[in-house]
Order: sequence, then C-alpha cells, then structure tokens
Amino acid sequence: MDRMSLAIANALVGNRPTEAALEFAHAAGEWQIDAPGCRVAVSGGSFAITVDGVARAPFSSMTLTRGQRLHIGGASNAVWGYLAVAGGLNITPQFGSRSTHVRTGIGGWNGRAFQPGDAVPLRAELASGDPERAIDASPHQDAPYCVVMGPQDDYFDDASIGAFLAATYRVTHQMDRMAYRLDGCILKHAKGYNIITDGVVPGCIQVPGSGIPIVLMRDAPTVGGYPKIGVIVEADLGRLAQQRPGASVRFQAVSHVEAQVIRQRFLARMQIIAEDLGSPRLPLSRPG
Amino acid sequence: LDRAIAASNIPGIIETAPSFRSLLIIYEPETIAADALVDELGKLIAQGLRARIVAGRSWTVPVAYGSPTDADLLEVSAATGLSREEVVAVHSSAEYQVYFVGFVPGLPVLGGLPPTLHLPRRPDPRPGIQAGCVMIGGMQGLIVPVTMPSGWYILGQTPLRCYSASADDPFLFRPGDRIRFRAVTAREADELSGLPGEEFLDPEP
Repeated sequence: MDRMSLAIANALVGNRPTEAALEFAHAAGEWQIDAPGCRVAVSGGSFAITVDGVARAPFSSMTLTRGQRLHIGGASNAVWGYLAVAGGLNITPQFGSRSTHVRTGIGGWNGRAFQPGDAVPLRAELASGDPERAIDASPHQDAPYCVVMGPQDDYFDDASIGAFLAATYRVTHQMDRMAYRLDGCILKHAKGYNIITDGVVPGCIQVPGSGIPIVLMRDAPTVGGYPKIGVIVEADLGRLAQQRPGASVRFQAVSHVEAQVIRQRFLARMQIIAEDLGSPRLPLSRPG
Repeated sequence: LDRAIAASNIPGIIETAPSFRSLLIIYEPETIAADALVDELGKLIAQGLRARIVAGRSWTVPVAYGSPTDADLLEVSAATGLSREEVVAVHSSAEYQVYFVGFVPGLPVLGGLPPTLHLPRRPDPRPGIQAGCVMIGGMQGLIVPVTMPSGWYILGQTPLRCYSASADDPFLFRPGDRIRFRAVTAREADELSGLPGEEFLDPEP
C-alpha cells in the first residue's frame, strides 16, 4: 500500500527495495524468533515496538536472536506498517509477484494473512555483523494529492470539476487494500454514472451514483463501470493509504508531463534512501 | 491492437487490459515517454491491424438454475414478466461471446444476453458472491471465478471453475470464446464438479 515505506524497511535491513516484507494494518502483534538470528526493521509510522518488553524504535534495524519476542503495537500516524527481514522471505512468486491478494487467496504465503502459530519462511537464518542502520522518518506531509484528470472527467460539468478540486474530503472507515471510500462534497454527473466498463489502475477516483468518490487502491480490480474523474499519481498513493479515518484529503490537478516529473522525483528519492543506507541500487523500472 | 502490441518489440509496456471499447496500456515512463509510445502505437495501427474475430473455442457450461438460491431468479422473473421457466429457457438458449476476462482473476464478461433479460444493476453491490455463480447484469452475463462483490443477479450455479490456481493456464476462458449454458439438476451439477474445465469444451466441428 505504501511503496516508499516498504523500500525503507528493506533498505534498513540491506534488502533490495522490492524484496517481500510483511505488511500489516494498525498493529502486527507478537512474533517469536525461531531462527538462530535475524535482522529486522519496521517502517510506515511510529509503531510501538518492544523486544522482550524493552521499547525499541521503528525506522531502525535490530538484530534479534532465537527465543526473543518482538511486539509491534499501534501507531498514531499511520495505517500500514512494514516488517522487513534481512535476506527476505522465502515465498514462491506467483504471476511474477510475491504479494498476497487476500480477497482471492492468490499469491504470497498460502494466499492468506499470517495467523497465530504460523512460521514465516526466511531466506537467511543468520544476521550479518554489519552495523545497524537507522533513518529519520519524515512525517507524512499534509499536501494536496496530485491528480491527472480523466479519463471520464467529461462525465462531470464544470461546476462539479471545480467543486472536486476545491473540496476537502475525509477518509472513512470503509477502507481496505481494494479501495478507500471518501466522504464530502457530492459531485453531480453530467451524463449519468454508467460508462461502458473499461480498464482501471490503482489511484483511479471512481464516482458512483452516490456522487462521492471512491479511490481504488493497490488491490484494484482490472476494470470498472463508474466514471473516473481523475487518477492520483503513484507518488501520492502511499501517502493517501497511510491516512486514518477522518483525515482530510484535497486534490490538485496536474498535467501528464507534471505527473511524469513527480514520478521521477519519487523514484529518485527512493533510490537516494536506498543508497544512503548502503543497500543495493534500486532498479529504476518495474516497482513491485 | 492488443495482439499487435504483444507481438511488437515496443519497450516499457508492463501490461495491457482490453475491455469492450478501450485498451488500457500500463507502461514505464522511464523506459518510453508517453509521446514516443503514442508514436509507436500509431505505427502499429498504420501497418493495418487486420482486426479479426479470433475463432474462439466453444464451451457448454452446465448450470443448476435456481441454485444456490432461487431468490434472484424469482426477482428477475418478476422484473421481466417472464416465468421462472422462461427466464431459464431464454438464458440457456442464447450463445454468448467472451468479450474480455477481468475485474477479478478469470472472470469472463459475456455479450449476447437476450434483450428480454436486460435489467439495471442493483443499486448496491452485495458482498460474498460465491465462485460458480452464473449472473446477469445490464446487457451482460458473467461467471463468478472467486468470491467477490457484485450488483448483478444470480441465475444459477455451475460446477465449472473458471479460475484454478494450480492449472497450467489458471484462466479457463479467453476473449473470443463462445459459451452456451445447459440446464442441469443440482444432483447432476454435483456429479460434474471437480472435472477439469476442458471436459466442457465442445468437440471440434
């Protein structure tokens, strides 16, 4: 859900940015180390972490040994957290991905979330003796979310487009990996709300009959039948994913060209973080 | 165009998603800029796409109508003015074409629904529609591959599975395939369950 945070957790333990890590929502509970030793790091937000009851910091790597207990509680400033393990997780890719699509039970580890009693398969059973790494977590900025308008912005009249760009929406409790439903200004359709079903991507802002936007997230379907007023740029989607119910959301229109510049800046920033922490270089292409 | 792209060497294209009247192209702007990609696509189109209806395969899909629930079938009957039996007869007499596969993995979106069965979608989608449900909505039909939400109407259930993670090709249907539905009893459906999808291919003419 938040690729930058995934890249940071991986960089902290010396992994490639796209290595598989555990994603959790709100809290991750307690994990017992069964390997002789392993190095882990948590990113995403200010998650309350303890090891054997002693407080530890997120955004820092830590080396743990067999029998130790890592507890990951909540964060006040995030939804999604990432637990990366040096060496990565031993997960067989499916359709070219080690991600889990929980809704359909595809991919990842048996197609489902880890449950109490499960063992997480690691690739490396021992931690290296390299120095520990840490990074200053920059707080999520309260900036508008950049949107490339369309492809069905012609389904809305000028007043509704203006209202969409001027309004403050709120994140609601109806949020999951597939979509975030917002609450706020009701948009009027100029040509009805049924389009001929066409392709969608994560970031698409669908406006169904209710007139209230739904943002498609990482587990978006491949097609949809509601008009899409715009698409949130990739660089801003992870930041939106981290907003808790009640958080305010504003949109700002950008051109295709501006969107490409934003994307380049986003990938460059990911690369700088990885390099600063001494992890292998990011491939500039094909995240995920 | 989708096939022409697949056969081309245009760099930077990650994925394409065809649908009724559009083709979504997901690409990496780091590898190919948008205007360069548009140029490349223009060249492909200029070469002549020879759009052809692919000779798809023909399937006969067994359906236990009224299963797992009769409620939707009765609702469709009431909304269309057809009897329950007529709804089944109309739905199972038509030939459908798979226009595209998507929404969730392996879901065939079917054209060819007879106009007497065209109905608006439900105002609100219902969650938890089970794999195997044979549904109609608007002017279209579909078969549910995995549990999903849907605002369409359930006419019946097929033992056929259109998504199977362990199969060589996990997706049973392909765009261009043709489907007919055959009414079977719930007992027959039970007996047919677990058979490989290929069992339901029509013999080659």
